Amino acid sequence: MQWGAASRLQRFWDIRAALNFIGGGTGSSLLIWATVGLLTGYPYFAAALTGLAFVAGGLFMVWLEIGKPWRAFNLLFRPQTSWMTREGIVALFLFSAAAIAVLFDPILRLPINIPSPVVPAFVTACLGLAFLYCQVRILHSARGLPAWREPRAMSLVAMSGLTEGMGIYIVLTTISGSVPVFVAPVALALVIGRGFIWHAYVSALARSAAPQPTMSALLGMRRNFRNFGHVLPAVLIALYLVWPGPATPLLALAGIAATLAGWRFKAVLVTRAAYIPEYSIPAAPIRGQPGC
Amino acid sequence: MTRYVMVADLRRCIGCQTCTAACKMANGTPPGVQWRRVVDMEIGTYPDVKRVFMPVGCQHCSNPPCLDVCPSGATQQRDDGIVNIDYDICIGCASCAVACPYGARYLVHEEQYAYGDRPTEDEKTNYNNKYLGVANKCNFCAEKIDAGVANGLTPGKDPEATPHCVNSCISGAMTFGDIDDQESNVSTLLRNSKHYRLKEEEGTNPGFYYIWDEA
Repeated sequence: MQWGAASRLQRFWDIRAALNFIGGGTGSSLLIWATVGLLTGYPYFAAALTGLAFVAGGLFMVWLEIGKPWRAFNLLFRPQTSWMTREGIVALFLFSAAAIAVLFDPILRLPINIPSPVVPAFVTACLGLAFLYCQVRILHSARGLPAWREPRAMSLVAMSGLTEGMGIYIVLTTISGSVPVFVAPVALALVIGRGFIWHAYVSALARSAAPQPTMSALLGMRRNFRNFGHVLPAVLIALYLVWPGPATPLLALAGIAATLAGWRFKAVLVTRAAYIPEYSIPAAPIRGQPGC
Repeated sequence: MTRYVMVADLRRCIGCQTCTAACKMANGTPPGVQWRRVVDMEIGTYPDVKRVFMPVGCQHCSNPPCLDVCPSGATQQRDDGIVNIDYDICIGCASCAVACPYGARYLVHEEQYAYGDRPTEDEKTNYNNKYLGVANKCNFCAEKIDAGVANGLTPGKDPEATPHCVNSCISGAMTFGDIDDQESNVSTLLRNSKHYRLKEEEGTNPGFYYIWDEA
């Protein structure tokens, strides 16, 4: 009998919280890649708008999850220590800067011109990076859960967010018919980087004696994550680098695979791998009289 | 200074869960919420196996992980060490719940009763809706302590100023008091015993001690 003693899955944050990390990571990094694209002469509007939609969708999911949604603005009360508060504040600035960047995009042909649309876009990208950082710190702050508090989880979630945003950016630029030159090499580096960090993360977690169900959940997705999230995208991107023209659809496929794999990883991390470790006691109570 | 702590003598605890029931009765918590519960563990390997009952709940840490993550400021730490929640501010985001290494926090979204859709006679009078949609946990019966102290009573010594779980314990396993007072009941107990705290490696400096042998 181990009543109440076994490790147990946290059920406070469900798929809605996972969708916040999915939307936030994908959206914020999409804003970053859209800005990089803008700086190299590619359209900004569609990618930025999609990025904002992802971030907004993720935050909406959190709003649906919290117990008292009409008190949501109370989350801004503790910026001195809470990464969730900081995330909220960054989100406010992010949407403000992004609104300026998107509204003054030449595609809208507004009668008003601003000196350089690159500036608000650059500010938005920086805020996107800050938003992503806040999200990984929120996960890391969960000291009750070994799967989240492991330091490499921060790098992994951040890298996955950047990869997912790149995946969507690849799809959008492929649809538009002009893929920026930087996309394929950066995507390849991100996919390979995420693969290595994933391996380091799982190894570190195993060394730290994480709860067995945590390891089972993560190891259960290891093969698919490796094959469809890293190997397949890397091969497809490499093919594109060799034959840029004919292999463009393969690049889009690589983007989709890398993104979906990242989303799946976050869903598992939040909803299936987050176990509170069992209680362990260093010494058993000494009862009764010796020899009895 | 004052720092209130709880001491559980594992040699005495028999796992009767009276403390759990007393806590639920006093605080009117929803089904599934047990601010004070007794973990039933088997330790060792056959044939050298022991059964251990261990009361757990909020550890009222000096360095509580739940405090820093709370975005609304609802989780607060009093000067006497008690970690408390302002239920009128909490937004129910559960950041604190996932930050707590002791799994001491609860979050219930919907009204529910112990037996079906209708409240029992006890629930009609005791059920507390203020816990719905917000994080909730043990607060060492802070209101009771405050009222007792205001009337010149000593928490841990006078039952009117002592947490319900401690008062209800039939085996005298649970003790409450001020660890900063060298002459208090808890200080004396801990001085004369071998004890530990849960997950000390987390650096939380918990305010819940477990006695397992005499010194």
